[in-house]
Amino acid sequence: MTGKLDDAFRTTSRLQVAAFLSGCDEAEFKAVQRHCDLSPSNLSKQAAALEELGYAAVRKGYVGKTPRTWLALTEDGRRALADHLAALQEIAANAARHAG
Amino acid sequence: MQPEDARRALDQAHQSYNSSVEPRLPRWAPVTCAVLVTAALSVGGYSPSPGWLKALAIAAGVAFALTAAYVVFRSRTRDGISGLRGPAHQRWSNLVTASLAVLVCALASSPDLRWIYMGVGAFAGIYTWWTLRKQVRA
Repeated sequence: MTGKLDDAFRTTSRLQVAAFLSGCDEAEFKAVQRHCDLSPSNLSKQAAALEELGYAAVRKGYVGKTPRTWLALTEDGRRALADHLAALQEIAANAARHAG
Repeated sequence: MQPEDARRALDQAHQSYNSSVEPRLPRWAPVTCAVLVTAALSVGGYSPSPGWLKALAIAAGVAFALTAAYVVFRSRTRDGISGLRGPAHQRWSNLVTASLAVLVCALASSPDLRWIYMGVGAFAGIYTWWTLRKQVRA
């Protein structure tokens, strides 16, 4: 097996957040929330879980006087997600081979 | 994990990645970018004489192309997303390399070839519109 399934990405919403963040350097909390269709509390929970694992970084700051939060996937997070997706790909490919 | 679950998770990840790298564009953006790309290639390859006018045409072509790229990236930045990673980054790098190759060709081209640049410009414009229209905000 080339990839390794990671429990961190077992839930759909966490996989969504990680895959979304893998396409950019960082994204505003609201952008992630809107694109992944998650409630603020759910996204906070998923982001905190990924941050605890060292897979995501949370940065707080201001744009003018408005407080903002940015989320980013760390290099460890990118590697873990790539491994997880490779493992999923392998499971799907094996099933297709056996079916064919 | 069941293969069906794996496929569903892969689809989900793919969709999320795409929504990160493909910004939601306003309705006017695909047509504007298509016109800018057509203008960039047509004007850039027009090759008028004397030399300074040719340089000016190429500079205008570069400006049109950069404006088209700005329209796309500005929408993404306004959405609160910065930087581009993964396969999409590779695709943009390839596009920049191809654009530089066209720029070098335009520098060496003659007025006889201007129709080729216009044809390529029209084709690239249609392709740009076709690609970007899928990203228009619902």
